[in-house]
Amino acid sequence: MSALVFDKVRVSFGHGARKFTAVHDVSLRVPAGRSVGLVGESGSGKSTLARAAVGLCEPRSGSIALNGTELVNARGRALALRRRVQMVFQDPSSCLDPRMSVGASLVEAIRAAERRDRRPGTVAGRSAQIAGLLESVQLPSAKAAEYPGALSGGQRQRVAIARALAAEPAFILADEITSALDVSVQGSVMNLLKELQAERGFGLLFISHNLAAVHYLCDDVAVLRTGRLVEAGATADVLHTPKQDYTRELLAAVPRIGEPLFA
Amino acid sequence: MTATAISPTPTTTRAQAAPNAWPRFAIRRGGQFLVSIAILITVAFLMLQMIPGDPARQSLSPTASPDQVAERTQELGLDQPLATQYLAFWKGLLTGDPGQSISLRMPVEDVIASRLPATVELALLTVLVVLAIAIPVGLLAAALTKGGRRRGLELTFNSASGLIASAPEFLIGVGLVYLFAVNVPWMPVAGRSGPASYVLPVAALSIGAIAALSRIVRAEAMDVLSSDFMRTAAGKRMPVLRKYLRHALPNLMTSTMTNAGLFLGSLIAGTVLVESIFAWPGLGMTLVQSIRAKDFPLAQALVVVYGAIVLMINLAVDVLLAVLDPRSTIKDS
Amino acid sequence: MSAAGMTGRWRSALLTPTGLAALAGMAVLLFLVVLGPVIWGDISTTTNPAALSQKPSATHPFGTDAGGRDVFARTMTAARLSVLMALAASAMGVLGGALLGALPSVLPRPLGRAILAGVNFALAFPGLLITVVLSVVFGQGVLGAVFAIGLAILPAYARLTSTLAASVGGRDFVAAARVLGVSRAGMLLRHIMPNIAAPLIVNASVTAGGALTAFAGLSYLGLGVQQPEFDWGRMLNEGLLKIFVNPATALAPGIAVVVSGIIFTMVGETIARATGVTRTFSDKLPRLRPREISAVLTIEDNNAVLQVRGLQIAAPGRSRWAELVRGVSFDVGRGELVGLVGESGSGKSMTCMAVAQLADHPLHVSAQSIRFDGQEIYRGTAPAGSRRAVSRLLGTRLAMVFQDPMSSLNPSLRVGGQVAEPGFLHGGLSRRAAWHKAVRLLGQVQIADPERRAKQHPHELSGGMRQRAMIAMGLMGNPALIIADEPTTALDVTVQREVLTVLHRVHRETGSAVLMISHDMAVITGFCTRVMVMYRGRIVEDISTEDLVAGNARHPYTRALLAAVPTLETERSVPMPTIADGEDFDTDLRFDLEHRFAARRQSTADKDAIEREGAHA
Repeated sequence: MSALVFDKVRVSFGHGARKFTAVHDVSLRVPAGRSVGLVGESGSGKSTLARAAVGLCEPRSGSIALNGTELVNARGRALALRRRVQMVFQDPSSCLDPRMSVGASLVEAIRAAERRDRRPGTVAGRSAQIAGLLESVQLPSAKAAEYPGALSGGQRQRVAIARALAAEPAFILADEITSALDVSVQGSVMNLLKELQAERGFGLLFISHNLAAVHYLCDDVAVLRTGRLVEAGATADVLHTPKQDYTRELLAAVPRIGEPLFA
Repeated sequence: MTATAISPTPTTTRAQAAPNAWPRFAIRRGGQFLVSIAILITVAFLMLQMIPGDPARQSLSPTASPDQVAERTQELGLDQPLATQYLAFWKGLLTGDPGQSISLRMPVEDVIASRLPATVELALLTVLVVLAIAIPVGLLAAALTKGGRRRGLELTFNSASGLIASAPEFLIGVGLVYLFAVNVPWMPVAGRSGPASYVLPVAALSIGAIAALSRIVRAEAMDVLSSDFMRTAAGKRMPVLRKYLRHALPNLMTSTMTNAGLFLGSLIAGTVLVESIFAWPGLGMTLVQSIRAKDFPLAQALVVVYGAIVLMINLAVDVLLAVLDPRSTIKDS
Repeated sequence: MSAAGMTGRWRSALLTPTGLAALAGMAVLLFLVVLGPVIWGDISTTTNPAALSQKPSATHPFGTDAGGRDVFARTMTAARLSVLMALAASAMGVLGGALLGALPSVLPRPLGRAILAGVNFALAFPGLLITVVLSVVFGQGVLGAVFAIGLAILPAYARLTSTLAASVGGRDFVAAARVLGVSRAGMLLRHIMPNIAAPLIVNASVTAGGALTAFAGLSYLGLGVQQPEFDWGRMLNEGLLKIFVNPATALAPGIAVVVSGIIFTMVGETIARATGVTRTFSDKLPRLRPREISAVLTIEDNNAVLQVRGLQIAAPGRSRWAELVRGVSFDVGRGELVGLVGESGSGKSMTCMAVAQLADHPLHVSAQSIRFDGQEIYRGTAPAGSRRAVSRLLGTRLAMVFQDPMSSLNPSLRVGGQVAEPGFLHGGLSRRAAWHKAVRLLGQVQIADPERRAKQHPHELSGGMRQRAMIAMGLMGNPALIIADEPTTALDVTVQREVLTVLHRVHRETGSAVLMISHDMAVITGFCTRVMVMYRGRIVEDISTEDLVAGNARHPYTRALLAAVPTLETERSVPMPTIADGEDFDTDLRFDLEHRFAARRQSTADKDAIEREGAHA
């Protein structure tokens, strides 16, 4: 069974007196085909952990492995394997290059995948692929000619997901991808992720501060606090019968519709 | 407004001043200054070496005999190995004896000692005038034109300040000379004698800088005025003057001082031109004369002096900024 | 942006006074560069011993120089050399600088850092000084001057490029490209360069103007162009010697330098407008027609702390008004907890800013009437009554809490002073007394060690503390209403709870009403007793929380919005209910007034007032 495995990962920034450790020896397993929620408040290190997996920052110690292959400082074949881990970001206003059409953004991703797999691509093949990708994120293929400025926030996040899919990922790390969206759009992005996962079988690390979203989408949950893993387990267990005080505190703080905050 | 969700902003504890921030700042910034001075001196030394052809011959008249060339070569030390020359250059500067001026036939240090005060006076006076006028003007312009109101005034301010700022000091200087020498001969237009003689050179140097700095102050002020905390201040319904002076101005000081520092540097450089126009007996006029006369030892020394003044100004501005805005020291180091 | 939009922007940028002047100026410069020496070349070099240093006359509009040559013809001829030198030096500085500045984002880190350190060192020195030093090295003449000035421009441009590149490099799409495995060169060419090109081009044209004057200065010093060649600076140099005899000889090249400099600057400004570096909106839009209020709503209701009737807010675009709030009417009762919920762009924040009279130019705010605390504060398009009285009323009786507690507090001032300010501005307290009250209030909003915190600056406080300090600031007066605009959106849930607790306590203890704006249904329904839902600039639902939660919402949008919120009880096996992208609930305008007030008739809050309204209607 393949999996993305974080083992005692530690990430810190700066040196000496200014050293700041964002992630403290966190171990976490994202099995293929499952979705794992990573929850925590700001500064808990949840984004940093994901960024380390795709090489956007470098752990000081520990290992991140995909099917047993080390991804930290990957070169050659390991690097090609790391490209099977893709990330989708929070901010829909900066996730796409404003000067590139949707089609151009997707072509870039398709070509990168072709280079990785050392297979030639054709113009016709790529445009067919673009149509397919857009279809899979439920966007009309005419959107390929549009620029991000003409798209809504939800549509941009869909394109960003399509771009990640172009790399035929084994794992997708979704970093607060619904947080900046209106609630009416959040649901459709979550539905999309769920459908895609069922269809393509990638493993999903869903990073969010929104416990309800994690509850809806994820099989397992890990709770982070100031860079340390507090609790992990099956979603139903962690979110309905939490073992740790911090998780309980976190759950208690979440306002619920119709439940008066103050008696 | 959607959820501006959780972003990895630094926590407050990290933003707090470390107790040893000041010594760290002093060491870092002081070290940077010394390295810059060393590079400056090296560049000034290399300036002579990089001149295509033979500097010794160039510094003489075209009819000079080979003996004269050989003598000048020796005088400039160009017959020595490069390393020896370099060391001698450092030694000369450190001992306050950088050599003999070819054109003026006197020690370089004496030339500098007699010309430096005039330039420093001119520069300091100009800086005071620029800051005293540019900051209020820029702030006022921002207050009157924020949020796209008073388009006419904005256009007038932008074109007038743009026009003045893009007219170089020396053109303004020439204009002033023309105006006061030819049409209204109220002010002396040349030399340095008595308070009245300062008026035109200071004006020539400051007018452009005032225009440029007030543009920057206005732009910065527009940013500050549209910020959330100014909305908070507006919510308190305070008198206009208090809103601008107490709430907006302190937030402008960091960027204004940073820019003023840059202007100060170019102001110092501007003295080179303005002194030439008003026959102001300062370093700038001397630098131009030395270059035209191929008086290399004097030119090299003056480049070091000018560069050192600029570096010291930058240092002073950084220290001032650190005092005004403690966050800046912490941010950079 | 589409191609048509691009052309439209260029056209509207060119059709401004600046744009037209830039276009005309460029045409003149081009003409002089190409044809100047052809037309005036011979005259400009013909010496005339019979007409040395003549004053302006019909034959010589700017007189003649010391060699008897026509100054006007020389100025026209010198345009080619002057402009071309400026362009050559700018091209050198701009291209070299852009290359040097972009390299650090592609090269290995230590190398990039070394380049930046070199650039920063060079930047410490003013361009003129570098130019003078370089002119020693390169010697005097056209080529030397071009090299000297070109190299002097380079560091500033390199710095600009690297700053811009770094800001683009930090954006998510670059990170995404890295994760995909796009090469460094591809990143530079496809992502970074296209995104920084516009500001670089704008600056390049300004740089060219600066280079032009720099050449004039250099030639003026005698370090630039040498005889027999001449540019404007050289002519200025010669003219100045004769300034007492014949000022026009210096005037002509002087004008040429200034005018060309301005042309380059205007070209830059035009490009900035056309490429969207400078944002524009039209200030010549036709007057906005106020929204008609169909129902007659009574105003005299002393039970309400806030009454808004027919509020309309519009923002100017490039060709028409965008109406953000479309005739909104609502009440907030004394001591009532009211929520205003809606999605981005619904106009909820704008509504509150307008009520607080903080909606700034260029927004257009009009209202049939806004009454606050028993006094009319806004009517038509302007504040009602005396400005002083309205300011005092709003300053003491209205408190505001904004979304971002960091940016809402002044970073340069101490927290205590900021909290205390309303006390001595309106409360008649001495500064000292206001400070003491501020410290007390900081303690009251659960800030530990308020004495010490009051003396600190905002950046030394946590986000939750800052937000509570904002609440304390509002308490300096005696607020009848607290408007809280997304007060906890930027905060973590645990901190959110603390802030809401403090806000609720303040409401309980002082009896002040709270109008809370939020996108978060859970926060709104948990905090408020009545909820108004805003959709595309209208209030489409006005309902008690009880009814809302019980599923009695009337408007389909409210029901859809409520269903779309995931909870910890949401069934995982079925898809989330969603609102489709193009779905339009904006069908029935009359719903806004009639249904709402009919609905309110049944609600418990201020029943009498509603009945009176009903009688009038």
